Amino acid sequence: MDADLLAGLAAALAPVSLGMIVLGLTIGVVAGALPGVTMLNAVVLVLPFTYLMGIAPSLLLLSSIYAGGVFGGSITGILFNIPGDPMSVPTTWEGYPLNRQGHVRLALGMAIMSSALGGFASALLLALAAPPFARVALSFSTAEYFAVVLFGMASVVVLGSRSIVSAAIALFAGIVLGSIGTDSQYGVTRLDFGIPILRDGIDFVVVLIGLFAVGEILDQLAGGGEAPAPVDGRVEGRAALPSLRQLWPYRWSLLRGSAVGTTIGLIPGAGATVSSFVSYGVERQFAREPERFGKGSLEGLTAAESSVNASTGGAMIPLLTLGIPGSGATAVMMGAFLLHGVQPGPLLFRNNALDVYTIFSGFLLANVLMIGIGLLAARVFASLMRIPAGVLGALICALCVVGAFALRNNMADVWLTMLFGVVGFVMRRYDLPVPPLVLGLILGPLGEQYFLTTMVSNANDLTVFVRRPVSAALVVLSIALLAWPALQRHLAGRRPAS
Amino acid sequence: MVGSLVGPVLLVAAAALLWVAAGDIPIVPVPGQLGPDFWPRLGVAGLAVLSGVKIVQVVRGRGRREAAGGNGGRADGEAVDRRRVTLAVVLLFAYTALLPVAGFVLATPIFLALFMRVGRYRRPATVGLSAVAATLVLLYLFVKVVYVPLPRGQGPLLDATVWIYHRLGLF
Repeated sequence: MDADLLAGLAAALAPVSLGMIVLGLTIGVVAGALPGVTMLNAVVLVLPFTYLMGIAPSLLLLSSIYAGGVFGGSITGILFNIPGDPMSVPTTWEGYPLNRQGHVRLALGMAIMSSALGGFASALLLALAAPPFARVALSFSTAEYFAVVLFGMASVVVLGSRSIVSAAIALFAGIVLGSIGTDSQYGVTRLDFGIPILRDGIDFVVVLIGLFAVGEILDQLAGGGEAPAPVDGRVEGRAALPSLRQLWPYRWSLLRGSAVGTTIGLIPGAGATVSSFVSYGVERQFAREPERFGKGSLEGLTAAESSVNASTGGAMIPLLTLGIPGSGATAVMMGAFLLHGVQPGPLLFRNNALDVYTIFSGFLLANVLMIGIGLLAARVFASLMRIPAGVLGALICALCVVGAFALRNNMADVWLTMLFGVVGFVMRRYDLPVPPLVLGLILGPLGEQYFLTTMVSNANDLTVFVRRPVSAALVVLSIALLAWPALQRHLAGRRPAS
Repeated sequence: MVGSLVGPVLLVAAAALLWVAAGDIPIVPVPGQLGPDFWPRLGVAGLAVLSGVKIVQVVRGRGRREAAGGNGGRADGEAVDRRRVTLAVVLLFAYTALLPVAGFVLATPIFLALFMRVGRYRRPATVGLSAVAATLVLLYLFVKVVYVPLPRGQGPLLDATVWIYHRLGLF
């Protein structure tokens, strides 16, 4: 493994790879920071450009956007009280008060360092834990794989939204969409209504572009179409990196944030937003001065910021080792793997070892280079904030059209993108969460394949899922996860009113 | 409450339609196998049942409370600028329809300029300049770098596109 990691590091240090990392970080930080443009938008929009690249440069670009994107929103949060993404809200709660108190450089510097350290810790875990986990996964049968998919679906439903029913509706809608087209096991056409473009099925990248990019633009236009204005006119964006002495008092906050972020990142559907809020809440319990929270607490800022970036490494573990994406960004990365004819999963470590270790090493490097990119971005960001929302929206829509067309050089994909753009807008307006639909579309066909294969091999005996220890544990976890909110409500109802 | 019921009721109707459509899936019965219609039917049944649960929740008032609790949705809160969204959707679909006829290089600047206007940006010089510049950047990136044959149009518009491609050194 060491030799593989060294070879991967050498490949990641090649000029092309480094270029992809720097480009990805820059795009990610900018997209994450611009209100109205999310890191996920950026990952989706860049996907068509990866067609002509190799698998490693493509994944380096996408994973760097992911790492940079989850950090970017904190810059505008600290500078202008405008979090670029929901995951940056806890950082904004502490960073902006620090800015108002005249500590903007320290707040930006601490945010950059916390992000880089949290991301680096999770990247290290990814590099060390993923290969042995993949070796274990090689012994999994289809029953275990189905149980993993089931657990992924359950956690997406429970953790991805406050309304379990709405999230489950979106998930099942995704499962139905995923079953449209020619069935891979029986070779028959399903639910195509005689429409030729549906015969090949619906490409999930088309759905991603429509739901997340076009839907988001329409949603912004519906709400007025203007980016929120900065609270005041100050554009002081110079960050001062904290010294080791300044960082030392916050070592436990950093460790807790990184641990919470990596663990939550592993759970499909949870992601960076959940990890930042959980980590912030946990830190408040441990804080020496909890009363400072909300008034400029560096403990809160470092914990939230380190957990956001730590979640990225955790989220890549199920994708690379099991071939199961747990978030929108990792779903796009799965799309990149598939576009290059590579199936992510345990065999990836055997068949594409160099590519995998290049991605690991590149992800480690990305979190180091993010310090420099973050410092630069904080300085130049004031000018980027001046791009009018109307101009940005139009450019993104044009890019969506070209990106959808480039998938198969087919206008049908552009029509589907537009259709899903409207669907995404309606879902946002009618309280249906979007990510479960996408994950249903991706996990649905996987679940079908594993379930039907398991049934054929076990004479349709459903008890196979509870007779095997790993699948039994995952099935029990899934049921517990689904039952937990109801149990919580029940317990809260029994508690006497204070 | 009626407004909140429209979505789940439509989903139940869609699920009924899909259930019927799933009956048309050609099945050659194989002993011991669940068949190609099993999974879509499972998905459709789940969709119908959960939409039914949502209807019950809305009727009992819980769906409304959940929506107010925040799911990222704004069904009951923020006002929607319907005119602007309708214009944007019409523009997007018109652009999609126009692309194969007029070609990317001719249709895109017009779309960009109009969409910026819908997005409340009205400085003519910036609109014109950024629309043309963005079209050229996308054209160069996708045609020259990524080798994607973007739509070139038909008839005289195809001739115009080819002329522009020659002038830009794309051919």
